[in-house]
Amino acid sequence: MREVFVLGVGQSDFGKMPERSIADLGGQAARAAIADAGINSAQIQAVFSSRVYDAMITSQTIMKDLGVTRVEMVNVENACAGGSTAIRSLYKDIAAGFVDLGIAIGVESMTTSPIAGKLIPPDRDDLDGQLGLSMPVLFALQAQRLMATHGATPEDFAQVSVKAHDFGALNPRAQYQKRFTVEEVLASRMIADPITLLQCCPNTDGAAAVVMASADVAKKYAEAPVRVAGSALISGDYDFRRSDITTLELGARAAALAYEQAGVAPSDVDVVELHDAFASEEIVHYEDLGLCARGDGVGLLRSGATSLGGRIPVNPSGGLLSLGHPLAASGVRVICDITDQLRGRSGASQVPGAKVGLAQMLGGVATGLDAAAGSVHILTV
Amino acid sequence: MTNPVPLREGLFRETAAGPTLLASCCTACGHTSYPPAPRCLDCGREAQEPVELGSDGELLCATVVHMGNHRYPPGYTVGYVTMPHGVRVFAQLAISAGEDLPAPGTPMTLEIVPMWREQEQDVLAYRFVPAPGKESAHA
Repeated sequence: MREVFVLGVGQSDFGKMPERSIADLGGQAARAAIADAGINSAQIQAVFSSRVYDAMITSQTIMKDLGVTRVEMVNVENACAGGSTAIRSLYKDIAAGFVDLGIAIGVESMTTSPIAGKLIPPDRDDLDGQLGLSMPVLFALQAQRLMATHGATPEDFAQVSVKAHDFGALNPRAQYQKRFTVEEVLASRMIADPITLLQCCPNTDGAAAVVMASADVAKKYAEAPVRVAGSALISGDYDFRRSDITTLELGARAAALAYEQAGVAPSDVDVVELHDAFASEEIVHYEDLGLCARGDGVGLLRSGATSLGGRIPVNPSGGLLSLGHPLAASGVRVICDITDQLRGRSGASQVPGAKVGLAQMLGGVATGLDAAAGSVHILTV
Repeated sequence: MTNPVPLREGLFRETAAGPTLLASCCTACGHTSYPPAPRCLDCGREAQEPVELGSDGELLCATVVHMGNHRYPPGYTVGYVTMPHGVRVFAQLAISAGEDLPAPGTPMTLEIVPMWREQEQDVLAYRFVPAPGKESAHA
C-alpha cells in the first residue's frame, strides 16, 4: 500500500443559503481545495463526492464547471459519515495505485432538503423511526443514561455547547460566531429532554473538499504535506452486543483500527474534530476514542482538557454545534480543519505545535444497530 | 369502516394473557431477536423458533419529544424498555401531558393501540404504560 497525503483543503461558506445550488457550494469548496493544493484541475484523476439528500451525480454536477471531465467519478452516501466515506474511498484508490491525484467532496443543501426544519429521521421504513425515533431522540435517550450511569448533569451537556461556541466565535467560517453561557444554553427551547435547542447542530448548507495525492505527486507540490497515517470506516454492530447505550462501539472500533494503522496511541493525539451533532454525545466520543478511560468522559470535559488551551482540544473549529452540519460535508470538513491545524493555519484556535490530529465522523441509525457508519482518520506531519 | 392494520405483520399480537411482542429464539445458541430474524443475528444459524416476549418490561430511560412530525404531535414520550431475554425495545410511552417522566427501573406493560391513520385506516402498533407495583418480568 502506498502512502497518501493531503495536498489541499477548501470549504464553502456555511449557513442558510437556499438560493445556492449544489454545483455552486461544491464548486466553491473544490476550487478552494484545488487552489490550496497548487494543482491544475485538469490533473485530477478521480472524484468522490457525497450528498445525503436529493443526491444524483453530485461529482459530475460540481466538476463540469471546473473543467474536469472524462475521469472516474463516484458518488457515495453514508448519512453523516458520507463525506468520510468519500475521503476513505479516494484514500484507498491512491493507496492501491489506481490513481495518483484526486479530490473528495462533501456537499449538502439542508435548507432545500425534504427534512429542512425537521428533526432528522431514520430511513422512512425504519421500525423505530415509525415509532417516533429521530436523531435528537436517540441522543436524548443516551444523555438520560449518561445522567444515570456517569453522573452527568444537564449543565455538563450545556458546557459542551458553550465550549463549541467559544471556539466557533474564533472561526470566521462558523455559521454562529457567537458565545453563549451555560444558563443561556439551558434556557433555550427544549427539543428532547435534556437536549435543548442550543445543544443541537443547526440546519446548514455548505461544502468541503480535500485534494489528496500519492507521495510522488505530493512532494512536487508541498514541502511538508500532511500524511493520512490512519484511515478506517466501519459499519455499526447489533445493539444487543453492547452492554449499554452510553457507547457507540463502531466509533471505538474505527478508532482502534486507525490508531493501529497509524502506530499512534490516543495520548499522542494533539487535536480532535468529531461529530457533535448533539452536545451530550461528545462525552461518549471521548471514551470511545480513548481520550480518557471508560466512564471518565464527564471528568475529562470538566477538567477543561478538551477546551481551548487544554491538553487535547476537541472541535477547535467550533464543531457541528457552531459551524453547522451540512450532513455529507462534515466528514470532509473535519479533514480540512485537522489539516489546517497540522499546518499551523488555524488562527486564534490554533493548537500550538499540533503534529497528530484525529478526524472522526459517525452517521445514520437503523433499528437494531448502535449506529450505521463510523469513520476515523489520523493525520500527521 | 375498515379494519385497523398492524404497522407490520409478525411483530405483536393480542393473546388471552394480554398483548405480546413476537420474537425469535435460536435453537442452537439461545439468542433472542426482536424483531424476529430469519436467521440468528448472533451465530448465523437458521434454526429459529418463535417466542413470545410477553408484555412486561422495565424502563431503561425515557425522554419527551417537544417537536412533532407528520405522525405525532409535539409532547410525545418515548423510551427504551428492557424485556425478558434482555431485549431492548424502543417505543412510545403512554404518559399524560404534564406528568413526570417515569424513573429508570419502573415496571412497564405493553399495549397495542392505533398509533396513526393512513389511507383512512388506523395503524396498530405498540407502546408501554407505566405499571408501578407490577412485578417486572425482566430477568
